[in-house]
Amino acid sequence: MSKGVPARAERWVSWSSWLGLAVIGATVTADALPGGGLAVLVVAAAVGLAVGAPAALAEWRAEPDPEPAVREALRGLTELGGIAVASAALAWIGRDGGLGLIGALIAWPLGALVARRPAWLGAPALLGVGGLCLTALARAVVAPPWTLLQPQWSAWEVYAGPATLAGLAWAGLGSARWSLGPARPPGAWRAPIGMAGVGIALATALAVHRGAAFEVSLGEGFGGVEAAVWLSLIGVSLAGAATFVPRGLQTPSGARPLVGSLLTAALAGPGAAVSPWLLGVVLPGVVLTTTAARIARGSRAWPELAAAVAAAAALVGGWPGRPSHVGDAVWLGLSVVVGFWFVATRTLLARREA
Amino acid sequence: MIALWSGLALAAVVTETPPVQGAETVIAMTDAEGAPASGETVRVVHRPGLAGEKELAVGITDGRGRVRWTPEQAGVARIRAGDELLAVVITPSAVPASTPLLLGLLGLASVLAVGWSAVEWARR
Repeated sequence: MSKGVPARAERWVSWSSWLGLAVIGATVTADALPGGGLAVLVVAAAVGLAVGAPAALAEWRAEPDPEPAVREALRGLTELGGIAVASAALAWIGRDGGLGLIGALIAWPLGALVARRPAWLGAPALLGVGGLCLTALARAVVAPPWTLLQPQWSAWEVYAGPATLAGLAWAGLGSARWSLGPARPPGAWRAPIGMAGVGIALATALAVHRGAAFEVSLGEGFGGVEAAVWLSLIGVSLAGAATFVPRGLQTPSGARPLVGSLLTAALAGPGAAVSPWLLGVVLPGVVLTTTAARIARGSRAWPELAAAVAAAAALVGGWPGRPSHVGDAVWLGLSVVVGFWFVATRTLLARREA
Repeated sequence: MIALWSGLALAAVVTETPPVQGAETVIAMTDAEGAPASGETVRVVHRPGLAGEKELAVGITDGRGRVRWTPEQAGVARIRAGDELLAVVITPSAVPASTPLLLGLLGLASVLAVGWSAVEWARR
């Protein structure tokens, strides 16, 4: 299975990627909090536990796709999506500037460094998750976050898309088989349920931090240095896991941290308008493509059908709209061209070899 | 909970006591010279910038630059009197039921999901 990484280390890479997915889901829900309050997290948790996790389990139980061209196209799509989505999540941490931006920019080199010892890869993430959750409890006591977190159920059209997307991402759907990062941790059949639980905890802790910041700043902002630092620590694990090429997790790639750093810097700066496309379109697009491919090949597992519907809903609900500036449109067009080239070339090569 | 007051550089609007939901307080406005500003319309925006934002009229300041106000809703709010703004946190009269309950349920769901997965992991 693995050439350069032993099975135990492979498990660490896999778990670290799962924790990274929790960050991605948390950033998506955090942006939707002003529109729905805790209703966002409740819907995301319900989707994650009732749809995402069962669908990810069904995906795990299935045999790998035997068609090389289809397999390569899906691998290429998820490989590209993985690095792009990880960069978008890191750029989100850094978008308020300050320590968060520094943390986001050094996450890739630090991640690459930690990835040399895969057994350490999960440590920054565990520290980050634990720190964020514990400090959230303290923040909730000092500045109760009632205003931002008050549930707004009626504004569902604002938050339904992001909440659904977060629920699917937490469970690792679309990533378990063709790997947006995580491979299946050996023997861990209930891992998607556990990781959805971690995702819920992380998103709730981040929501409390943002709600407390909103109260303390008297409605002027949601950001805070403390949360950014803890998220950056998790980002180190996410970036580290993303340096492994998701093809049996052979060895860390030297090129991927460089690409990830450049992409993160671009998304935190001039290409910021592309981030909503990566998180709102690429991520649900990958989930929809992978589940639809399985359904087309005969899978009739109800969770996968439900997940495909949920992914389509997330895609529609999270559609960012047309770019409002020419520069944004250029960045977006460039991303589409590079992405298409990346996936199409490897699909063609695989078909020729077959 | 401590009510937080925020004055602008030349704060011309103040509340005489920290605002508490359901309890009457007085909003006082002065002009640049520090004299009471009468005849100014005072409005309050609850949940500024969030879903469910609500703007309510409080009244018009009297000859002493004052108007009585009983906040209906707790949380972050902005008082607008003439061109002046004052950001305040209105202390709830009681801890809102739904938000802590949902936070608790989310925490419980998280613990159960992680615990269930961990128990299976330990058995193997």
